[in-house]
Order: sequence, then C-alpha cells, then structure tokens
Amino acid sequence: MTDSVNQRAGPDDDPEQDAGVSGLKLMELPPVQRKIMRLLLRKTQLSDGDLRTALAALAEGEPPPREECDAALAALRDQGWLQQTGEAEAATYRAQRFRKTAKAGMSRIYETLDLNLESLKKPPPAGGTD
Amino acid sequence: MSKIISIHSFRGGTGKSNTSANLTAILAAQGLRVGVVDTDIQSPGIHVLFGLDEDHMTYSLNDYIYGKCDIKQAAYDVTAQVGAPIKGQIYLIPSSIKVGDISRFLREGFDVGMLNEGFETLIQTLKLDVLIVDTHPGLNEETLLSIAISDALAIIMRPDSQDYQGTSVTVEVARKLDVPRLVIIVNKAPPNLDPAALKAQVEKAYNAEVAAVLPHSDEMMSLASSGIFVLRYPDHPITLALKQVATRLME
Repeated sequence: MTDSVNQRAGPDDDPEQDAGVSGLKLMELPPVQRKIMRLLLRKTQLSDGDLRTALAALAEGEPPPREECDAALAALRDQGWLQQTGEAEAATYRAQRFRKTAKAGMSRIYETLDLNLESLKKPPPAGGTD
Repeated sequence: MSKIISIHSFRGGTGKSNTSANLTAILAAQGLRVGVVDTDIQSPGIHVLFGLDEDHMTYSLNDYIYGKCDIKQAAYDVTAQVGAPIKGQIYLIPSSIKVGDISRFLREGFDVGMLNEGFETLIQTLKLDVLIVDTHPGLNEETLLSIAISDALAIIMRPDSQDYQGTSVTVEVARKLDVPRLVIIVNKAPPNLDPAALKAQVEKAYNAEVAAVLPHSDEMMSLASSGIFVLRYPDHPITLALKQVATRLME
C-alpha cells in the first residue's frame, strides 16, 4: 500500500459504517441531487426558499425547473440523505449525517475509484524525478 | 459570501501544509479574516508553521470531533505569531499531536458530518472571509467531504511520475463532485525543467489550469517550516507566484 492509502483499524462489519451520507455515493448522484446535497452539506441546513435561490445561482444556464427540484428532493428524502421539516415553501432541509469513517470505508473508496482507472492508463506528462 | 478552499495532494511530501500556510498568510495580509483547519488528523503539522506549540494547544480538532469542546474553542488566533504585521486575522484549528488522540482516530474513525458543521460554525462565529482546509493526502471520507463543499480546490503535485496517477484520480473526483474552481500547483520543480513547458504539459494532461509552477527553493528548504515563507521572503518569485494562486482561488 502507498502512503496515500489510509489504513485504519476497526471492525469491517460495523453497521455504523453504512449509515449516513458518503462521499463516494455523492459522486454517483444525478446532477440536481448532487447539487442539492453539496449545498446542504456546506450550509448544514437551508429553507426551501434559500435552497432554490442557491440552486438558481449555481445554474450556468436556466435553473432546474421546480418539478425537477421537487423530484430530486423527494428522491434524496426517500434515500435517507436529507431530513425535511415542514412542507412546501415552509420546508427546511438538513443533510443527513455523513457516515463514520473507519477501515472498511477506506478500502471501499479505492475499490470504487477503480472506475477512474481509464485516467490511470495515460502516460505521465513529465519525466519522473524520484 | 465566505469561501472554503481545500488544499490537497494525493501523495505526502508535496508541500501541501506549507502551501496552505502561505496562502493563508497572503489572504490575511490582504485584510481578510482567514481560518485554516488541519484535517490531516493522522499526521498533523501545520501548527508548526504558525508557531503554535503543544503546550499552548488546550483543545484541538480532535477534541471537537469527539465532543470535548466546541469548534470555536479549538480555534487559535495566531495572527501575532507569524512574524510580520498582518492586516487581517488568522485563526488556526490544529489537529492533536498527542499519540493517544491520533491512535483513537485511527482506531475508531469519527463522524465526518461533524466537520462540515464545524466549518460552517467557524465561518459564522469567527466571521471568516475564507476557510482553508489542509487535507490528508490520498482520498478518504473527510477529504471527499472537504472537496465536495469547497468553492475552490488546489491540488499540489510534483513533476514526478509517482504523483501523476494520484493527481489524475483527484482531478476526476473533484470534477465528479462539481467543485466550482480547480487549479493545480506544480511544486518543487527541478531547475532543469522549463516552467512554461511543464505548465503546458500538465494542463494538457489533466485538462485543468496550472495556477503556478513553483521551483525547488533552497530558501524554502532552509526555512524548514520554522516560519511562513511568503512573510519571510515577500519579494521572492515563489511568493509572487503564490499570490497569483491566491487570486485565482478567490475569483
């Protein structure tokens, strides 16, 4: 293993490791869901109005339509990624806790990042020095 | 709006903590209120650059993530300790250098959600303009979180074949996490490499902006983390290049 691979002792079958949001799953979310989660992780919690304003500010072109945002919020809620209090315009959203880190989670990161192996097949851009 | 800037490298020894400290000093010298968090919990070190020793570290990031203090109690105003007048403010949130604290982290892990809540609390309570996150090398949950919530990410690499593949992975991860601004800093470039050619080569390889190519520096080596380079050598070419990096990250 390289010095970059984080080895941590801990039970591999700890159910706590599978609870909550994870960075790996965040990468796999559809774009609108991912944008919502990034905003909620950054600000911890947002009102419905503030979330939609922030989403509109992020949009390079037209902001996502309300129906698309509603569907993304519902999907995130159903997956347990966010907590919602209140309804419609009075709603407040909060990101579910990130999962606890430990050895099992670390090994999964590198397994999952194998999807990036295409990039690893390219030749180095510069000659090595050590 | 406050910015979160993460400084990352895939491998250790690239100069990540030095770059974090120098960018912090540059931004604070411009009058900004800057926080810098050492999330390299396994191998902390940035406190050394800011002259904060263990005896004066009542609380650390470790104490916050294990519920022993609130995050503000682990923030130290080190503005007066950097050895030069600073218009703004620097708050350092160090990680513990106690063996027991590090081994607890390695043994138990922690709730990474504490980090983003802590970052937001720091930004609000200390009225920060910028929060700089000095990450752990490689990729783990806390690094992914830091990248995901960042407005800007600087990836440090050396012109070294061993750094190439890891940097490639990090660039791809940052893109998948929609980081709004991504720059690469090529550090410790040997004098026999043409900086302009190296910049063009790396930019082409990663399809990402190289904000600076920093040469190997005897002055940096001699300083040996006993101070902050940009404050000690304000007119040095490396200082000027790092100022350009700071500007790009804040745009």
